[in-house]
Amino acid sequence: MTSLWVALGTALGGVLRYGVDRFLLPEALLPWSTLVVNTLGSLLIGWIAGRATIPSSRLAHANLHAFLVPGFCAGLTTFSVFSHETLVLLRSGAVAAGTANITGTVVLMLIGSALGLAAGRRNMTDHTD
Amino acid sequence: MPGPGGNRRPEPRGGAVITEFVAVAAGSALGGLCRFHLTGWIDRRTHTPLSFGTLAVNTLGAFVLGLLVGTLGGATEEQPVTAALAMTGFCGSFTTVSSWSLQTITLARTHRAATAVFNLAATLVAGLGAVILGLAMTGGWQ
Repeated sequence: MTSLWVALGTALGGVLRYGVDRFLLPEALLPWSTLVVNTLGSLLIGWIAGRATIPSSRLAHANLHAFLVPGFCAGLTTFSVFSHETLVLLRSGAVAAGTANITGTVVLMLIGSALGLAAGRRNMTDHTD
Repeated sequence: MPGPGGNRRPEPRGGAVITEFVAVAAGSALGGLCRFHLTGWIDRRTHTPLSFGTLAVNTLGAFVLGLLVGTLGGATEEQPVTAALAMTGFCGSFTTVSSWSLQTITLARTHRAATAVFNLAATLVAGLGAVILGLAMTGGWQ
């Protein structure tokens, strides 16, 4: 049953990532679409992790957690595509852009997760979700 | 509908776009399932603060993407459904940045700063190395 929720969440996350890449953000100096989905997914997983520490939270429920965390967040974000895009930049001689893509991704994903976690844990006494 | 400037691929008709999205969904679902079970299998055996499961799937997914890019080569644009299924879908969803990020933050928060830095560096180096290896094995690295 958990597998089904993981598969559904991942499919939805992957489709959203593809949609952003195809229709929202063109590749310019940097592969922005990958940077954006990776940052958003890291923010969301942090927020869910913060929320899930509250036992009464719906986000602590196993099926919803499977759908959202190893499902949606992991499907929305991608490490393989990030690595390949970075390598393409570095190989083409755009060393500054390749380095910026690595630094930007690492910094933004960490800030995203830390902020998300802080926001999710902030209203620990608020049992409304 | 072409994106605002600089779209990489020639814009196909509506039906073809739907086929691509279905291919991404199918590849993603399969990639996500494989990631979930492989990560769990590895993490249950390693029991370390650093998730070797996440490191493994990210490295393996980067390697497979390198193999696919090397195999398909310039034909990627002529085979958008294959690329959507295997590259964007399967490899894209088999790997994860969100879990990598949260696990790194968790390491730092539990006073394992050195392990957190190692998790960042090892994943980055392994990922780039794995793409290069995949490309090299399929003649895509010249």
